[in-house]
Amino acid sequence: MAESRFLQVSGKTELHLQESTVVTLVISGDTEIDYDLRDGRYGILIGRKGKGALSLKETGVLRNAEVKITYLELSEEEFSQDTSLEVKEGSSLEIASYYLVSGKKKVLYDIRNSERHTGTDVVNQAVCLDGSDLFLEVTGSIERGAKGSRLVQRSRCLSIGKPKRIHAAPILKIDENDVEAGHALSSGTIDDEILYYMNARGLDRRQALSLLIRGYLLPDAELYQEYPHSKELFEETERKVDILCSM
Amino acid sequence: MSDTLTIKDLHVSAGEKEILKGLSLEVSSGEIHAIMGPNGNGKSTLLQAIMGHPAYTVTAGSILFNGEDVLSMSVDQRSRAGLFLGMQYPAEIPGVTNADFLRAAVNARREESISLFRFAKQLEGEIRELGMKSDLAHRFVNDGFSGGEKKRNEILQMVMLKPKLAMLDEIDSGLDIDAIKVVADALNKLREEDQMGMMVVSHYERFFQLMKPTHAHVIMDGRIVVEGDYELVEKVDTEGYDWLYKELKLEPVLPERPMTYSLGVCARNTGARHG
Repeated sequence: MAESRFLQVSGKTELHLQESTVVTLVISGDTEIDYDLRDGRYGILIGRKGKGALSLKETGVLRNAEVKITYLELSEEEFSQDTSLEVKEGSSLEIASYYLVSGKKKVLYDIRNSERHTGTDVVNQAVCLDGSDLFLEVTGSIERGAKGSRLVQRSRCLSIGKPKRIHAAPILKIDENDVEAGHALSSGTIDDEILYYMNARGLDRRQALSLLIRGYLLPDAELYQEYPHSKELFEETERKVDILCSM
Repeated sequence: MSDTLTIKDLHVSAGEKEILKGLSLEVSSGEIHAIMGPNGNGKSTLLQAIMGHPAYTVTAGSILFNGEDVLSMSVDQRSRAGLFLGMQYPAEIPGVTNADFLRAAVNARREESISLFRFAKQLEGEIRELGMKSDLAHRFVNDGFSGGEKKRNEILQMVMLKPKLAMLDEIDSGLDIDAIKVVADALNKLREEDQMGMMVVSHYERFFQLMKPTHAHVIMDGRIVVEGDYELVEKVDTEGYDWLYKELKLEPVLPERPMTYSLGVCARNTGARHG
């Protein structure tokens, strides 16, 4: 049975986990986290507490570990994230991130598959509101020697109103043969054909938008059950999405 | 109460092009109308115009449903009034599960929300009845579905929403013989139990054989040119549309091909041969 932990962090934090662990991390100020994840299965849910601009810097190495990290950043505040992880020795990394962008958000991922038979799957979903500014760059590398590795990244950005800027770049750097790699990016407003289809099933524009926004910003409710003390985070996310959907 | 859709002298354009040129039709509860005709003559346009697709403009004529003016309703109001269009190319909605989508659609036509338990039980039962995979409820709407799965999903939505009048646009294409039978059974059940009226566009007599339409219409050049019953379906199946082209002195409408532009020559053959 996995160990469950709930941590409120700010400032510099070293997270050395050597057993299977499920962690809820709530950050409340500028935060730097250094991970050492090895020999186990890990689930990490990262949310935020409190108002004000915030930055998150992450570095770390995965060794023989199966890791899933979920990011929830649905605040109206300025936010920057710089995540740099190395996936080693048969590890796998799954990232799912959800961003609501009303002001300025800068998000950088640098994921390196550096050894054989490693796997990375990154999914970013963002809803960008009027006047918002999103800079999202995901760099995924399969380095020399990482034969049989897999690296897939997908980003979806939905604009509602007129964002100032949406810069979303999926970057792949492949330096080895016999690997699987792919990237997909979609950015734009709601497709008229999708809206028509939803209208044709009886949903008005507001109801249709609400479902679509929830699809972008809300992870499966079951996800929260996995993480300790995440009810507050879940309720806060629900509340944000409700406000957005009623606009 | 019997429900009736009345279409009178309908003219519909897509952009500058007039597609329907004065079409009249009446469909009532319990009736199955086969809508036939060669490609590109206005069958799908008719169904989309009734549903209110924004790409089509009704330039003249009227559509009434139980005496209410359909043309003054928004698309979602038409749906809630009891009209359903099973689409030829259903949209894919990544991020929204079938269960969430259908529950919202069911609730949109109810005063009180359906309980989650009751809805889940009903959905599960219909998925089983239609021979679909049990994980369908949790998959995103039509996302990554095969052609056949998308068509069955249209039927699933229809049985869950229980419309008064269903319009089905080539709902049988992409389905294998067994699936066609399952779909036809579901439609016949709704017709028997709820007296649902239907307008069915299909190119296959096999589907009509299972549906046994009460009325049949052939659309050519934006008008209904001949009407009848199931015998007309059989005649079209064996003889095609040539007899109608001759009788009506019409030319077949050829599908429009995109214009090709030459970007000029960037290399010139000088007659030199390369080994």
